[in-house]
Amino acid sequence: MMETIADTTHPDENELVALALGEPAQALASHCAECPACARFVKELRMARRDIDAVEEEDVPRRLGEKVRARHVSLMRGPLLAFWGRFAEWWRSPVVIAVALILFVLFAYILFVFVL
Amino acid sequence: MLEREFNDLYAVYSRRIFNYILWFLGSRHAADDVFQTVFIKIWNGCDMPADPAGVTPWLYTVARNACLDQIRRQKRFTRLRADFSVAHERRTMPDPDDHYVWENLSTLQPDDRGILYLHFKAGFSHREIGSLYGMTENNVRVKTFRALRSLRGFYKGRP
Repeated sequence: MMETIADTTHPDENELVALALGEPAQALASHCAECPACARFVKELRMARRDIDAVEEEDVPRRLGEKVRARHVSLMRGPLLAFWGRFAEWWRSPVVIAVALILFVLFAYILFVFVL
Repeated sequence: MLEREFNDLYAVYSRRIFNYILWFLGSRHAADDVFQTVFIKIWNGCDMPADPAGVTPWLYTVARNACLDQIRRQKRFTRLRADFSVAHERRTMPDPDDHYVWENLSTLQPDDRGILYLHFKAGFSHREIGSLYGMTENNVRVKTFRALRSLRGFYKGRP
């Protein structure tokens, strides 16, 4: 299989790309039916295109969306409330919640054992 | 910009802009940062076109400029930490299920990945991309074709 289709008997590569992308080109299609090199070229382009099509678009991660909204709210409210917005965002972090829970249990234990 | 306008823009465009940035940068980590920057810029932006037809191109232009800024910053940074960066980018590639496709796409120039996204995923015509990128329709067509020809190399010998 040749690296590029430079032979003058073959169509221009860009025309083959256009064919692979579905642009109408009856003469090229007929050529490809008889030319294995060009048919292979078009097939490989179509495989690339098919893989591009198959890549699924992703949703914006929920946490990222919340960050953007929190920053947006803080910009609207000014510096004082911006601090609160950042704090509220920080406070929702799972690590902070876990640490707070551990501290709460520890505090309750100390209170129960040593004070009461 | 009113809060309602911002929320409407976010609801309609956030997913598309996020994916465009993801394709452009090819890294989830970088895309997260740039996505936030873009929407803060949109909120601050006083140059938003009054004509509704101009809003979509404006949003993608803001996103593209933010991506280019990020790449410039990354280049300065990765000069110092090149090895780390390559490994890091591999780990933070978008969807692992499409891992090999992303590896192939990562060989393209960021702007070319952006063009592929706009054309094949967002459904922009070459003419529309041209007006967004400041190129002629034919230039965009050539870039699309060249990118596709370049990707074709990964499919040689496959049944």
